This record gives sequence, structure tokens and C-alpha cells, in this order.
Amino acid sequence: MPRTTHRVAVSAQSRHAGRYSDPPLLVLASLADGPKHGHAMLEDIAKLSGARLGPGTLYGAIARLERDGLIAPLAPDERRRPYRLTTEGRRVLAAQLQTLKNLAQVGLRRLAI
Amino acid sequence: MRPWAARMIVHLYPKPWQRRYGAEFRALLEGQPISVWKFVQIIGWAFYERVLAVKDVRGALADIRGDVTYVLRSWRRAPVFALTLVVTVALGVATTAGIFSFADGFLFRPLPFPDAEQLFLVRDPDARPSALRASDVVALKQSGLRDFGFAEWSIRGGMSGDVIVGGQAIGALVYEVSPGFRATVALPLLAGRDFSSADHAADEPVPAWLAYRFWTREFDSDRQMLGQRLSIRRSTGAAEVVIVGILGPEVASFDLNNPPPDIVVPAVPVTDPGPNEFAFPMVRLPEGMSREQAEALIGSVLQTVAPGPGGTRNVQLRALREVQVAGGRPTARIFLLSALLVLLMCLINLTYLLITRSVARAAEVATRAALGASRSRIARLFLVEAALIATAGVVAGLLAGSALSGVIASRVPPLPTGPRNLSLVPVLFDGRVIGIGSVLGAVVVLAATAVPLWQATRLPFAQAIRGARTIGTLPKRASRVLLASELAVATVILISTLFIGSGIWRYLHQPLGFDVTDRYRVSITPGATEPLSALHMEQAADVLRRQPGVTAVGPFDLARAGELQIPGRSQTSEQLTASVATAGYREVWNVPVVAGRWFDSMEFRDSSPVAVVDSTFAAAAWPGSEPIGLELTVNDVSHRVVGVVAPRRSRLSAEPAGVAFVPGPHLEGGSLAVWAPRAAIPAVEAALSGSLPTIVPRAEIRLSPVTLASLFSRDIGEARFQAPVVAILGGLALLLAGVGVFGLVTFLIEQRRREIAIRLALGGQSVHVWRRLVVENAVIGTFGLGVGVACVGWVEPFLRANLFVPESSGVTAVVVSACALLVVVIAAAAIPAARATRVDPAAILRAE
Repeated sequence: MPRTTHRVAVSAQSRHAGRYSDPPLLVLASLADGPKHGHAMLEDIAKLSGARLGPGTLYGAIARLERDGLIAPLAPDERRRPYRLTTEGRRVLAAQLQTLKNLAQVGLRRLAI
Repeated sequence: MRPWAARMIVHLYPKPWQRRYGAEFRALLEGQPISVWKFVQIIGWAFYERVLAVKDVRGALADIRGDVTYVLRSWRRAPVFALTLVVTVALGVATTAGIFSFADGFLFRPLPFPDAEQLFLVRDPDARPSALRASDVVALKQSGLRDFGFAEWSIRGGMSGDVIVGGQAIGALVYEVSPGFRATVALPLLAGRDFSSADHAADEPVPAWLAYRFWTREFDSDRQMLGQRLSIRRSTGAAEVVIVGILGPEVASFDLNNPPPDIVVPAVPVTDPGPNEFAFPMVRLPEGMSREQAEALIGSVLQTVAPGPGGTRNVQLRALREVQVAGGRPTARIFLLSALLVLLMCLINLTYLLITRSVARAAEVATRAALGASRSRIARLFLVEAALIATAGVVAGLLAGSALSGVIASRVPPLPTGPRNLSLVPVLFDGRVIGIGSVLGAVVVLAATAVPLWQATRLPFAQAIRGARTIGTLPKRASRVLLASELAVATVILISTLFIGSGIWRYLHQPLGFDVTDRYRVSITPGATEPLSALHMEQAADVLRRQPGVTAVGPFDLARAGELQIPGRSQTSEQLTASVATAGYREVWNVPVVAGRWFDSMEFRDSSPVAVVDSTFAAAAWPGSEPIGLELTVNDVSHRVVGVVAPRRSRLSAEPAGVAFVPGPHLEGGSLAVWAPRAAIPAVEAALSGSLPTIVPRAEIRLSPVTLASLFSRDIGEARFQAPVVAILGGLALLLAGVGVFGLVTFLIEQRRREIAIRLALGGQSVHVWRRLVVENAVIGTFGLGVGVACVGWVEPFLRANLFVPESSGVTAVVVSACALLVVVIAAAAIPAARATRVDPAAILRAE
């Protein structure tokens, strides 16, 4: 197949295709299957979404979610402190994922995939 | 990340955040590496948290507004001082940004094509000039290696000519690209379209892209040029092109040996190129293939489709980026080093200016503290001033830097010096350069604020409120360190500038083996029907010789004499050649005779079997022997050497080849050289114009002055480009150093007014106090000079490695620089010291 400029240009962007990066939602999703501390969250989020959050971004999201009452700290394990989802956090996560699901279904249908 | 670094990062966050998340955040940071980008993110989040932590946002904003007003008011009270602060920053930013716009492309910026690391230039290491034959490339394209996307970018001599723009003829250099060029090298187009396969045909109008610089320079960046037709006037007739695209500013050229293009057109594929046609194709390696694998694969296919006369066919792949940037990297490194030294001088001067400012504000800051202002409140005042200086300095600096970048871009030599081509990478003043310039400006201002900020927040308040003019040891010690640093940097700059400058001067003034002053080239173009014969040339030379003021007339060029043999040597080096010298050659070029004699008129007329060699030839052909009386053979005729002349340079960037001259009877070629003062040239031209039609009907003559530039156009571009830039940067840094040294010494002496007054009051003589002050500062200065000279030992190999002049002596530069700077230090100390010792001690002590 002949190489085209279009293909070359797209290939550079395609490395980022398929990633999803909304730090608070990713943190909520990571905590959905149980409490985790910061490092475990980073690893889990990288597996979940392909996006590797920076420590500053992660703790920015954690501080915001804790202020909003969507996650809560547990007793520290040495210097690491695990976090869990609150009931409100679980409800917000479910609502956001449902919205994403609907969006994904409509989008995929329109793309005929 | 190391624990101390993690601890520092956590301190960026507000205190409540640190108490709540500090320990766990540190644990997370220590468990993983942090990239620069992640570090920037952390700073952003820390700033965000700090903003959130401010409870009374409106109050905080009002406080900051108050600080801004206070700083602006203090600037209005001392406008010259404020202007000096801003100009110092602007100077550093302008120089760095302007130079960085040139150096970035050669040193840091990737090529503007996607996956550019996969692009390679294909060469034949066994061929001369290391190029594949055009027929090889045709064969490779037709082979199974189509996925490599063989692409060619070459000058299309036949299409180049004059484009008529606004009634004026403008020379335009036309390049051509092979079919599918943009599929391999995805040249960014600013506007328009790619060439289609149908465009690669011999039809007119020829679709064309305009090069960005040509478009901006000649068409004022007019996008309406798309679709317009241009007529190119060539020697073979007019050709019409239609503009279908405009190349992006990131694109310059890919041709190492010629100037960048003005117009690019699609090449018409040639299926059967001639045996003497060469090509430098580019390829894009398929994903996963290494360079070695590609070299082996292309070589083996070439061996099959176009076998060589003997042995296997080899190819060599050179990374395209390396090919593009290698020639400009040395100049870029030197420029960037000079710019960074200028920035360093700006940092030193700014630090000293801000220290003097903090000393002047000591009492006021202490009063604020005494009235309850916290340390952070005082620090904020300094930071607000730093932010205002940085903003004003960076904006002014970027504007000036943009202008400097434009000047540099306009002066980049279009032709290479040897293999060093500076026009393959464009000079871009874009967001990247603006970002770097802004960050450097902000860093310089923040760094310069650090010392006064530290001092102000730890001020001995009671002492400051009492009005003491000296405020502790830190500013004094810092000022001494600054003085020594300033002199060390100035030493490095002065020595480097002299080193580079003397190298360039020596390069441009190296012995040529002939004179060029008051020489003119007389070009004679014959009429269409009558060719120019040797007799015509002789007659024209006679006309010239008869003109008043003409010292000598001779041939402009020399013709090759034929095959050269040196008896007793089996093989003659390719560096040794034989040329035919005709009457007037030595006289018109004033060639120095080193030994023996030059030819006489009879020998010219009879083409006698005698020869004159230059000293390079003599040393290479008969090392250690006296050449006069020895024999050499030209075209199987033995010639006896009768004289030795100085070697004649044909390149400035290469050592002269050895030449043996044999006498010839007739002037040949279409050019004569005449030696006459400029005042005589109009009369000479008039006389020749009057006489020449009787000698050669309808002949045209043109007299042009012979200059270094006209003789060595491919050798002097880089030197003439480097010299003013290095001189300006060096001069700028030295001006900053001079002002800084004078200011610092004055400040240091001013700080000791009380001590001077006590010494004078106790009976000390003015001259003794003066001498002591001068000696003390000279000692600090000498220490700085010593550090500078030691640093030169470190910089010198870098300079030697990057200069295109291979040899230059640094000893003179070191001695001259050290003496000059020592004089500056002594003069800078003598004047304020004399002023300080003329004061009335009683008045000073009463005021204290």
C-alpha cells in the first residue's frame, strides 16, 4: 500500500488515541473495587485508561474529591493513606458512567461500529 | 525521587495542604521518577492549591494591587534606575531569544516532519562525489524497494531565471522534487496543495510551490499568490509556472552545495538518465528496520539491479537531521555560548542593582516589619517588583529579539563554506523561542531577586531603623563575589571574542599568493556569430595596456597544461597540477618570486621548455631538495625549473594545491585581469568600449572589481556572518561588564564611607586611604581575572573544536584581555575612591 502524507500525519496522533483522561472520574473508577492508596491508584488508572497521571494531578483530584465528600481517607498504613468511595461518590460515579455509556452507544451507532 | 527533593516539592503547597496530604504525597513522590513535565504539573497544582487557600481573595488582590502601585511609584521617583533594571533584563532576553532562534534548529529542534528519525540520505561511499548515479536511483525505484519511498530534491538549473515582480526582474532559484516527495518527506505546506502525479509532466504552465522566504520577501506574504501565474525569464526562453502551494517557514533546503530554493516544481521523471548524472536520494525506512539492515538491503538490491564494474555495491545511510544540522552546529554553539554569557552578565548586573536597591530600602523595610508586616508580606513586595521587572523586560526583550532574529536570518550566508552550510535550517522566531526567552528572563529576574529578598526578610531591624547605611555582611560579601564573578565572566568573554575574532581575521587575511587591491575583471562576451579567439584577447589586452593608469594586464584564469609527470616519482599526487601561464600573469597579480626567476617574453612566445613551480609544489615534489634546475614533464615534454613563486590559494578553507607553471603564447578564455586604480577605470572602460567593436564585432564587455568575496564566494560567507555577530555579542558583554564593575566598586566603596571617615579623622592621609581602597579592589579583581583565565582553559577546546579556522593562538588574547581588564578595575576603583577620600570626615560621622 503506498504511503501517504495523511497516514504519516495521523500516525503521530494515533499514539494518544483511545486514552481517556479525566482525573477525578478516573480516581473514582479506580476506587470502585475497593480502597487504594496513591501509588496503587496510579498503577490501576494506567491499566484502566492508558493515561499515566502525574503525582500532582492525582493529589489535585484526591483533594478535590475529598473536599466534595466523594471519597474519604482511611487510617494510614505507615506513610501511605488509602482512600475509599463514599456513598455519594459511588452514586456520582454510577451517574457519570451511565452518561458515558449512553454517549458511547450513540457515538458507536453513528459510526456504524 | 530523592527524599530531600520530595520534601522541597511539598513545601510548594500551602501549609494546611502540607499538614493534611504532605506525608503521603512525599511517600508517593519518593516512590517514582519525576519528569520535567510532571514537575511543571506539580508546580501548577501547588499554585492552584495556594490560590484556593487564600480565604480573603479580594483582600489579597487589593494587597497585591497596593504593592504594584508602590513599586510603580518608586520607579517613577527613580526612572533611570527602573529603566536600567528593565533594559538589563531586555538586553539579556533579546540576545538569548534572537540567537536561540538561529541556534535552536541546529542544536535542539527536531526536523519538522513526522517520524523524522526514519529519514535518511543515501550515498555511495565508493563513488566520487559520494553520490549514487541517477540510473541507480531509477533502478532502485523500479525494484522491490518501493516502500522506502526514494525521493529526490535537486536544483533545476534549466528552470532558474528571472521572475518579473512589479516590473522588476528578481533572480529565482528553482528546485525540483521527484514524484511522491511529500509522501516520504512530509514537507509542511502553509497553503495550497501537494503535487499530483499528473503534475510531473513536461506541460506548461508548470505547477509550483513558493518558498516561504521568497513569498514573504517578494510578495509580502500575499495568499492571493495561490493560483497566480509567474513568468520565468531564462537564457533558453520564458517558462510559465502556476503557484499551487506555499512551503511552510520550517522548510529551508536539502541541498548541501547550493543556496535554498525560491521556487519548487515537480520533476519530470527521467527513465534513462545519462552516465554522468548523479543523485542524492532520501528514503524513509519502514517501521522496525534499522539503518544497518537498510544499508545491507539496499546494497544487495543495487548489486542485483545495477551491478558495479568490480566488487559489491555499498550504500551508506546518513540520518537526514544530522546532514541538515552538522554544518551549522559549530556556529550555533559559539553563538549560543556568547548569548548565554551575555545573559549571565545581565544576571550579575541585575543582582547588584537589586542589592543596591535593597540597601536603599533597608530602613523602610525595617519600619514595615516593626509595624507588624510578616516576612511573607515583605517577600511579596520584592516578588511583585521582580514580576514587574520580568514582565516589562521580557516583553521589550522579545520585541528586540524578534528584530535581531530577522537581522540574523537576512545575513545567513546562502552558500556553504566547505561542507558547512548554514542555510539548510531556517531561523524561526516562534512560540518555542518566545517560551524559552520568557522562561529565561523570569529565571534571571528571580535569581537576581534571591539575595536582596533573603537579606530583607532577615534584616536586623533595630539597626536598620536607626538608619545605618550598611546592612550586614551578606550584601558586602555578595558584592565582592559578584565583582569577582563579573571579572571572571568578562575575562572569558574578552579572551573568547579575541580568540574567535583573531581566527576570523587570520582566515580572511591569510596569504593568497597574489594581490586583489585595484584589480578588475574584464569579461568579454563575443557576438553571436564570431567566437572569441586568442588573438582577440591579445588585442583587447593591448588596448588595455595603452590606457593611462593601467599598471598591468594579464589573464584572469589559468588553463590546465595537461598531464604532469615528475621524473623519479611513479605516481603524481592529485594535489599537484600544471597550468599554462601567459604574459602578464605574474605582473597583474603581483605574484611574489621566492627563488630564481619568472619567464621572459621570449619564453612566452616560444613556449620554451622551462617551468616555474610554487613552493607547495616544490615541497611536495622534491622534499628537501633545491627545485631550480630540476626537471618535470608536461604532456611528455621535459621542462626545466627556473624559478619558485609563492603558492596561490584557490580556496580559503583548504590548503593551496601545488602548481607548476609552463609558459604559453596566447591568452585564452573570455576574461582578462587589469590592475589600475579605481579612478582610471571609467576611462579604461570607455576606451575598451570604443575599440572593442573593431576587434570583435558586437562584443559586450563588463568590468567588475575583484574582491575577496568575488574570488572566494564559497569560503567567506560564514566568516563574514560570524564576525559581526561575535563582535556585537562580545562588545555587549564587555559593555555590561564595564558598567557592572564600575557600579559594583562604587557601591563597595560607598559602603565603607564610615570606615574611611574614621581613618581620616584619626589622621590617615587621603592618599594612603585611596591606595588601600584601590589595592583591595584590585586584589578582588585580580582574583576574578585568575578564575576567568582558568575557565578559558576549559572553554578553549570548545572554541577550537567549533571554529572553522583550525588554528589560532590564544596567548596574545589572554595577555591583552587580562591587562585591559586590570586597567578597567583599577580605573573603576580609583575614581570612586578619590571621591570618597575627599569628603569631610566630621560631616559623615555626624550623619552616622
